[in-house]
Amino acid sequence: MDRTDAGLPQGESITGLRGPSTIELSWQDKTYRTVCYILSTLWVAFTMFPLFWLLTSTFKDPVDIMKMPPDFVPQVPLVYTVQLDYTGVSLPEGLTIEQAIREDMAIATWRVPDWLANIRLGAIRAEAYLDGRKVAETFLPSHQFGWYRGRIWASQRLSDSLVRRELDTALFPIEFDMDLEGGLTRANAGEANEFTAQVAELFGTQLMTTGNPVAVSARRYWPALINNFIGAWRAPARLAPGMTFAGYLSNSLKITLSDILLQWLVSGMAAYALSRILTPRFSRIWTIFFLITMMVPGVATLIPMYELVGKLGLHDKLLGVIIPAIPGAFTIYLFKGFFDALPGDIFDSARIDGASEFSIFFRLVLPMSKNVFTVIGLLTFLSSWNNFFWPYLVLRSPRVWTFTIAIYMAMGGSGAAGTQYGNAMASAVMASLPTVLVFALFSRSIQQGMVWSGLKG
Amino acid sequence: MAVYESMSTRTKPRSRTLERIGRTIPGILFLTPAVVAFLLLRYYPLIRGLLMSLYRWDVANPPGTYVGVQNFVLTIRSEVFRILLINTFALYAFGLLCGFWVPIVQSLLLSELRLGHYVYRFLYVLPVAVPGIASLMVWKYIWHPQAGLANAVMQGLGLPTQLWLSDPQLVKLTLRLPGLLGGGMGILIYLAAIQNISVETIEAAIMDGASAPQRAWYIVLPSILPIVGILFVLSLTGSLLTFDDVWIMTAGGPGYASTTLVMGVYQRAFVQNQFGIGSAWAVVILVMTLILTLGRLYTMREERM
Repeated sequence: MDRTDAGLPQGESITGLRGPSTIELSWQDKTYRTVCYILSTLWVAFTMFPLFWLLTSTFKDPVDIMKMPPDFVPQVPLVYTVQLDYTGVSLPEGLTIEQAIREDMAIATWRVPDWLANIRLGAIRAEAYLDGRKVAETFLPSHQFGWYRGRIWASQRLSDSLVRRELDTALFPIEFDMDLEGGLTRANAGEANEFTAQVAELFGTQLMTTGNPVAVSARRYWPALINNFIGAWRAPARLAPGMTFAGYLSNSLKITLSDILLQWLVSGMAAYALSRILTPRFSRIWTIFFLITMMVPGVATLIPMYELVGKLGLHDKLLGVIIPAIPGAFTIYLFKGFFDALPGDIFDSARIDGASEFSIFFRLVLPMSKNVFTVIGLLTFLSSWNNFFWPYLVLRSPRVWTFTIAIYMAMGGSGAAGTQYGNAMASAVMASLPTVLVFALFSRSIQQGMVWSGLKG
Repeated sequence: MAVYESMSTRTKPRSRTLERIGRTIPGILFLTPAVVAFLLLRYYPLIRGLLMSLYRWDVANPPGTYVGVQNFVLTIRSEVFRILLINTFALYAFGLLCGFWVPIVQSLLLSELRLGHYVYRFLYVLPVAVPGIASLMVWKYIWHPQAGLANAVMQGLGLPTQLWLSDPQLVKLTLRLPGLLGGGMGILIYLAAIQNISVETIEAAIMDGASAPQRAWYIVLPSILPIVGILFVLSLTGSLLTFDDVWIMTAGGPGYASTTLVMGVYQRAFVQNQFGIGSAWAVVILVMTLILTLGRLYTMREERM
């Protein structure tokens, strides 16, 4: 059963390159081949470059993403440690030492990143000391303050006193360990660098704390390399409480799987009827009825379709994306070409045996047509998964967004572009993993399908 | 044997009718879902779109006022329509300049490779596996005027930095420059066409003493020209429908500098709420694509004969 018989355009053989490899090559041919290797290698490297750039950039700190000239290898972000000493400080009236430490920790962790928005900051740690013992510690990785960095704080909306009030809200989570009696184990603090002095300078000038700032130090913090991923994973919660990036992915997945199933079922059955059930005359009429719609571009039906989806009450629903994708003229064409090429005797003998058309289709045709079902499934997967415009038009509220809309929105936000680029690129990498995986697994079928669909009219 | 014959002669007329019915009902059942879907989701919107274009469409209270061909007159006379038409074709022209020939050359080079052929081909096609929005975003980052790689390279070469996507003069070229990297489906199609060349032809050429570059130029290239032609016409038709990539990169900006025809429809309908005018634009685009498509089908039929 050769697919080239299936009434499809020529040139779909994806088997290895046939060529006169047995013939001895002349020196010119060898030179030419070498040149081809060199040029192909360079060109492949160029073609792959955007992917490389996407991948490396997702590991960069937002500050490095906006750096000029950019780094080719992401640098490891640093964790800055601020040490505050409470030995012998006089507490303001009505404030216990616990409260004072708590407030200072909040100021140190939330306001330092805000004031120094140009530092590659993987995390910030504040430590409180009392009589030489470490009594409290708080730690804030940058994906938590990432989005707020340089936004809310720089606008002076939140002063130190506001920070104190906001302490317990979910917006600025502060988690910390405190043990006033015993003492906590000390972490390896690190060393001074050009920015530690800047951080130290903030205390006493911009940031008023009860405790005395004693030392600021920095050291490498490897986990911060995946901050963009964590940030991107959690970012949807800002728009729809409790949602993670998985929500967008699952919306995309629901649409994609429904599209595949419907294409298989609706187009497959229709093509089977055209190919094997109807009389030639009817078959021709209905084939034209289906295939002629390939000539009508989507834009011609865009406005009425939007209106129709609204009338059906499907705006802002996943079904509003799934249902308009049901008519697939090209898949009918592919299916029909394939079914036409199946040997007719099988159908005749099955019918003589009294099999109904349904059982012929599901028991006989399906198992024989794994190839074409796979190719159509994969083509539908790629186009549905990556679909942007129609979902963007129909799905308005964040809860039903597909990942493509989410990435587009993350890119589109003006200002603080660095943060957003980091998030958007990390989202893009996460959303690419399924397609790259499918592509690697089904490379052959996909390439086959691409040749077919690339030549469609 | 005799039993079989008598049975078959006896049942034949009835079985034919029965078979007719037995095949008509499943035929209807099998076709119905697709027919309903096509009628409701392809034919109905198409006809309604044609209808809309004849009205000053009132969204709240359709259909609104009948205005005949006024929407079309307005469309064709409109300055914006002309600008967007030019933009669309300019984008296509830059696409030809930067992108169209690249997969042809790449597949010619690739067809010479034996060792690692599959690896090269896989890598060339891999970028297609990444969702379009992901690669577009990387490019948006690369073109970023302050932090982008493009300007870093310009600086490194001692050239003046550019605004790229924010420069009305440069935006269309910038949008199409990534085409130079090539790869993608085109390569697969051309490679498939190259594989269809018969081994005998190539071997005969070798016997005649044709060197590899000569074979590429005189045998391989001419034999894939029909496919090149098909893809060329397809890309022309497709160019009229340019939307997604440009929308994601620039949203048509700056100003109208990269707004395409389809974006015009979108803006008319969904920004300005002029559904009638928007539909008229859509109908004009439809007619243009139909002319191109029918022209292509016609010439292809000529070739086949």
